Amino acid sequence: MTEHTVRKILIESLPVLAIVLVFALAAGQFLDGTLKGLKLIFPLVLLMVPAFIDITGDLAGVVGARVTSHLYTGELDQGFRPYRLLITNLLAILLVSASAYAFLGACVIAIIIWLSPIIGLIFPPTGFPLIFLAICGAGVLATACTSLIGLISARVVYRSGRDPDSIIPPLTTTVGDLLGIVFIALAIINTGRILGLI
Amino acid sequence: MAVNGSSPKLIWRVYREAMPVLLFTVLAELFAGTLLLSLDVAYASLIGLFILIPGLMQLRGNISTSLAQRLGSGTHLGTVSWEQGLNKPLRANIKAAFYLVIIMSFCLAIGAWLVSQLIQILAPRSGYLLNLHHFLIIALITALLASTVQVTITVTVALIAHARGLDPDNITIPIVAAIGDIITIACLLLAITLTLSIFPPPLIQI
Repeated sequence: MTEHTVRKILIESLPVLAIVLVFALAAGQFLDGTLKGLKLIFPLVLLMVPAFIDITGDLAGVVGARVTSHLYTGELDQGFRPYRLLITNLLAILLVSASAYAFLGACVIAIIIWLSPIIGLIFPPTGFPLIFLAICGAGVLATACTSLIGLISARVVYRSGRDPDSIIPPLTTTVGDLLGIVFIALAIINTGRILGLI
Repeated sequence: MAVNGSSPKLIWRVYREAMPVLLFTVLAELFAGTLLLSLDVAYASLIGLFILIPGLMQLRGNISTSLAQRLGSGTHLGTVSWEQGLNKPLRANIKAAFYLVIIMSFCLAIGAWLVSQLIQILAPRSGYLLNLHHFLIIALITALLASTVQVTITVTVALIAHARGLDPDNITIPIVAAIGDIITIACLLLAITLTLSIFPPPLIQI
């Protein structure tokens, strides 16, 4: 990357951005159609959307970047062996993911308690542990699924002789957005069912 | 990225390096979330508006982040720096970032309009239906405003970090990523208010 010309940057970026656009529109439709409707069950759902999808996309990107580096240094071979190193990396990221979503869950509960009297929101206190578990569970699942998709595409891209570093990060962030929104919706629907709100 | 020692050591190292930035990001993104919440409260009856949001937030990720990465590489190679100011490679990078923003927000607006029209045929909803020109104007204004702010911050942070002897690769991306969504949603609020006051959308009643 010695010379930056407008033309070169455009040619490198556009194909990946076109794929990103399709995923972004799918995520957008899910946000506009399904998730906005869920505010009848949980009025603060939109509050956690940016944080929720960002953690998943970031962490799946980290898995992709780490595995790509391992491939280049030769610590992982073309078939992604030894699997022990691969699994260690995944475990590390899932641990980070669980902690980050626990922090998000705690923040969301704090905001619910703080905002409830102001916006006249009635939320059963017995639902707090459930909301916390739902955010953590959905978050870790979303991170795991997106990371797996990132890993599989890293393998495909690496084998085809292209550089995963320029393709995997945009892919994991958009797939992370889509899966993040789907998993938030599932978490809220199930929590609502258990609490008897639906 | 050498791997020495046992698995628990590797896990702990990843954990220690990733957590602080992530916690800061969660707080920043929760602020973006409150803006998103107020956007929904203010424009609850607009159909299709939220289709644009993931795409607009992605523009940040894919354009500012890669600009930050290219500037990081540029400072390492000595082609861009604070002293050299707005030289040719830096101008090419900024120009390319803006071209990408314009092309992508244009495509995003057309895509969002097509999706919203299709959904309205399949499962009609009552409310204010945005037309193609609404999507185009809202997406372009948001993307241009947000990118101007973000590109300015990206370039300034990267060059100052480099001038102070820090590695831009480690600093620029977390900062841009954390504040990017706040800037995007704030600009979106501004763009919608502006667009709808000039072009009121038609009311659809089912």
